[in-house]
Amino acid sequence: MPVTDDIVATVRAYLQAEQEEFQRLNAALDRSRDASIAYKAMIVASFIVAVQRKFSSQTSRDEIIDYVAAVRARGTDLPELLDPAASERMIASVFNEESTRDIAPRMKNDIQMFFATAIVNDEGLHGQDLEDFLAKARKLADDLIG
Amino acid sequence: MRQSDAFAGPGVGVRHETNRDLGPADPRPYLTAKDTPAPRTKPDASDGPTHRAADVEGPSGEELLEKDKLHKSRIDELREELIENFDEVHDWAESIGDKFTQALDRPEPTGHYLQCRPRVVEAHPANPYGVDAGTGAAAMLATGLFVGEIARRTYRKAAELKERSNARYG
Amino acid sequence: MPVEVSDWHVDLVRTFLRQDDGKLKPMLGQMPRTYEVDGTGVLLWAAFVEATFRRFPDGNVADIIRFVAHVRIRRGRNAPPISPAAAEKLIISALTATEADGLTDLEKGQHIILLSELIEDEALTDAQLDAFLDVARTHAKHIAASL
Repeated sequence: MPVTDDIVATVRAYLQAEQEEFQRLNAALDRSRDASIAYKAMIVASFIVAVQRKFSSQTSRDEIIDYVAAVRARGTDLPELLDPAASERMIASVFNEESTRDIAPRMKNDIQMFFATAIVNDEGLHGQDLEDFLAKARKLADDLIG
Repeated sequence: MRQSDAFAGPGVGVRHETNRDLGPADPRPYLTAKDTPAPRTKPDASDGPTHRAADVEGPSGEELLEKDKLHKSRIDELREELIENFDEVHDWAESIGDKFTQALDRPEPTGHYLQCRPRVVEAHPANPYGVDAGTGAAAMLATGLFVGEIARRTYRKAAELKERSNARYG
Repeated sequence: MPVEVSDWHVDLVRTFLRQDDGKLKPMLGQMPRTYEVDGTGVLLWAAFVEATFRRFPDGNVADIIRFVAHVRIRRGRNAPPISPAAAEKLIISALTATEADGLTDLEKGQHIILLSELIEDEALTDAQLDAFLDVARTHAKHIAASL
């Protein structure tokens, strides 16, 4: 099942840090197996597209360490929610072949959501730019689902 | 597909040095007045027509996967992970609450502060410092770490000498 | 047998923090080959506690995160790696007198590396380092007495 408009709207809400809208849309989402997989795919794809926008295969280890630290330092809950080494590995894994299987699923979800939100807002993506970003992530998500 | 490694070797990447032209060096060069994102390593939309939002409509998902160097092994792993724990994604999203708003960069980072213990010197009945027999207070462990640091410093000095020599002789 | 913090232990830690590796190497040969707590270990922990208090007087967590990142970047890829989560926990443990949970023994020893980095940033004169070690030794004696 491909990504639906409802799923895109839910991800848009968290990327725009619209907390109430996000929770409302998340609660209303279809919870069937295929729909949940599509939702996960969109969360993963949004993270990948965000990382590809901000970094590249030429990005140094130091820049990733620096950025992860900057984001984790922003909020009270973030230092615990976002393990620094796991966050760095997940960002780097967008460009290398390193497996991230050993990272717990919940931690992965947190890293994917928080860093996608941070990057989208740091890059100032709004309006059409945000829609283009979401369209790109949706294409990637649909391809991951297959 | 080009092999890529986001973790480039030593000598590449950001160097954190204090700006000595501004007087006494800040011993804490890593502190900034506000959180700033890491330097961009890719052109942004303001750099001209090479990176336009309109390009998004062109490539398919498959082309994006290849173009942006998402390795096949990673694609396979991502696909497998999608079907693991998919049933938890909604509950996880609910549990996040409003925490994701903390990821936003704010002009004055609030941070939070630890409840530090008072700096008393008097002995306490219980060890206040969190040291026990296995905590790295062991002599063997200290020896091993000293050896590691000596090796690192030796390497650093050699690297600095080489850099100075390269700068002098090109 | 009570743990003693002797002049030799202070000299060893001073030599380490001064990065006088020529003098440090032969001293390592005189260190006891034991996994028991001894004066060096207690003094190193006490010095680490004192150094973290001086560096993070407010206990600001964002500063701690940025410091650990800065140290890892400065040390580069060829240094013994620092686990960032463990490093943060150790600093927090020192500041709050709580146990650093879930660390391996090797990770717990990272405070020795962090101490070296903290002191390097301070760029102390010889006199200032001696004064620092005097305070650390006082802390160490109290730790030793409670073991």
